[in-house]
Amino acid sequence: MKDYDVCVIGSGAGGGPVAYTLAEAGYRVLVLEKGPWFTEKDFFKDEIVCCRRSVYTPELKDERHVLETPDGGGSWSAEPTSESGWDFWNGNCVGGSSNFMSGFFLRLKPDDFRLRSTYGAIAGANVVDWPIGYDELEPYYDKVEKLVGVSGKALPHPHADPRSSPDFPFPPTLEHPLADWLDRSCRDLDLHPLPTPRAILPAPALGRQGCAYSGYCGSYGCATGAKGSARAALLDKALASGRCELRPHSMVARLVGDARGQIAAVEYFDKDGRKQRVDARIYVVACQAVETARLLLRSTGPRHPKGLANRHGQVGRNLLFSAGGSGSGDLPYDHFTARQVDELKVFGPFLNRTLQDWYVIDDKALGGRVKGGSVEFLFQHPNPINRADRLKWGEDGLLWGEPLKRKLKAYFTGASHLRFEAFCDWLPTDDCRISLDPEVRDRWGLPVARVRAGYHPHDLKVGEYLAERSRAVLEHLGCVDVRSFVSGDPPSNLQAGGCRFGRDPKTSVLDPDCRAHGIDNLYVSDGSFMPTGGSVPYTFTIYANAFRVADQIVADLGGVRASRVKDRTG
Amino acid sequence: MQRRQFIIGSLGVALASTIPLRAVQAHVGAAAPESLLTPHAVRVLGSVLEGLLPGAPEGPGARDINATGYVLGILAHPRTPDSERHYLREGLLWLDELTPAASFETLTARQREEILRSFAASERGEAWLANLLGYVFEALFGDPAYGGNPGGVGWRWIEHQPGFPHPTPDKVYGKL
Repeated sequence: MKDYDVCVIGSGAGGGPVAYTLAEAGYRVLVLEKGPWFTEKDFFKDEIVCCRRSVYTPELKDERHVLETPDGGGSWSAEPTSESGWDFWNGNCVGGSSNFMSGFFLRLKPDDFRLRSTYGAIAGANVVDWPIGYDELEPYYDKVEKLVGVSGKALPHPHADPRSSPDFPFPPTLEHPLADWLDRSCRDLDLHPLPTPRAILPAPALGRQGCAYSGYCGSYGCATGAKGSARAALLDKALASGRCELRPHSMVARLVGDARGQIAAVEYFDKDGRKQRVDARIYVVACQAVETARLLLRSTGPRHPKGLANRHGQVGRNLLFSAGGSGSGDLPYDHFTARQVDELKVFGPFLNRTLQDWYVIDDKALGGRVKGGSVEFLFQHPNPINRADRLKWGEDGLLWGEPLKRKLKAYFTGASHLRFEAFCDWLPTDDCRISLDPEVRDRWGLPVARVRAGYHPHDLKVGEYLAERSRAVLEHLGCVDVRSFVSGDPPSNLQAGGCRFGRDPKTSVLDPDCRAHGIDNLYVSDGSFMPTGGSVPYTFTIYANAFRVADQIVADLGGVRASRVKDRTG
Repeated sequence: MQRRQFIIGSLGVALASTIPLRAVQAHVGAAAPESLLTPHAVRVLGSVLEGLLPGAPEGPGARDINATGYVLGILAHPRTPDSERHYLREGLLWLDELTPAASFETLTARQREEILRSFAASERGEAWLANLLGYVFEALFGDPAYGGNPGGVGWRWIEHQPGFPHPTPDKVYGKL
């Protein structure tokens, strides 16, 4: 008899739904998480822990990546992240990076599932249609909204996604007065501002507390449990079932293949560095895109000499980040009335506004009808240390003394600071991929991931298109010093792809159910499956697809166990 | 070697100066590394920090936020990489080399400013001061649990509303 029915590697948005669903269905689940186990009692609004030190992520001297970026001369330069400081870890703890997300939960749209057939090929990009359609994922978006808890308000919109439920199960979180200003500004420009759906409970529900509106959300762990992390929303309930076991500080070294090429066991290092072994009927990998590809690549064996599911060299290819850009603008208090300034200084509620008017762009300047993206409007993160650290640079170099203090005082007390983030497709290319570094090893002696992070020039055109129009919104609102930044640098917190799903084993790693081609008892349930990424943040889609995968695994194992059916029917 | 002895000394001696012990204890508890800075070097460090963040009339200064104690806490923290400790010490050496006639902390404010400008004119000097400013900002705007920003004086100065809950002493960086 196997130790467990299902072994899930990784406890974030990809692993949580699988653990929850399988435990609810009556199966014995083990979750292996490489990081520690924090709970609400460990989360504080502490900028030093959140954003100045490696607490939720490993020290780069112990665990690094090697990043390859274009050197400008047609070649690539490689540098360990321990030297550059460019961190590709995103929350290595129970619940993963979903603990620290902002929780912008926008759905993909039907055309995102058929990008190639809708918009055609783009030279130099490996754009393909998904093997499933929006209709197959929609029920799972709906499930996430209800089970994880998504707050929002469905409004009619030129690019509104089809919904099986007419509205969100939870009303929008409290909104900042500036949301009304922004709405008026957008409507003046014939745009359609949308309340941003958030994976945040506005009030107690689902056995969790509601949002405390402390003003610190993205990058911070949630002290109330209102944020729909995989830990708070799913794993805590899976554990309560008594059928799910979670082992933190468990770094999986490799998946071990048997003589038939199926997975026979998992080897992992425990907290004390001792190698352990465990087996299960089905194995699910959900380590986030870079680390999932790395684990499959290093799990070599006689039947898998190039790594698991890598017979055709597809593992690690077509890695995705999120393209787009960002921008900012200031609202100086001396430009507004006292009443308006009072509104601007409100602290705590969310701005929560999205524009999707440019989700499809039909403009000759971009060559006709092309896929566009989404724009989020938000306040600058409140973190005063990091903001001051950026302000220390003046036009002529470093500032200190009274000039620095005057600049700090004026910045923090003289204006409100807005920003926008544009999300558009990061086109899959041969120049964005994961491999194993031939030399650099982590603290367990395992080869680290080498990330080649090339981008397609088309991404910048779309990003600049969105940024230009978003700047106009801020200017119409009354912002000054409006600026934007678009580049091909990969946002390391928005990872997907690398194990794309598809019907052809020669061009994909996973089948349409996200089972590895040729390995019946191996699934991947994080964002690695995505052949194209769409133009919204990934977490909502990762959650939804992981629930879809989980249902398939339940079916593989024989369906919901009779005892659980009895429980459910009373 | 003499210069090195100027810099590296005993934390116990350093703490015998006027540095608030709480700032260091917040980081490392009672067990601090034995060898850190001499009292002389601590005074130089303090003078540099006061140059970077002077006190009144405009807002709190380095003394008001326990900046020196905070940086000593960084030096003593078990998770601070040795390379960072070495870098912080080396900068004090470089600065001392620019003031051959006297020790930095004995100069007038104007003279110190001239030295800092001269120091920042070099790439390595500017980078060192920029790094040190990062710690100044942590002492100015970080949670008081870390020993800086006493009573939230830095937050009040910029009318900043901190978030809740605040970290408890047993769950600050290094203890989580």
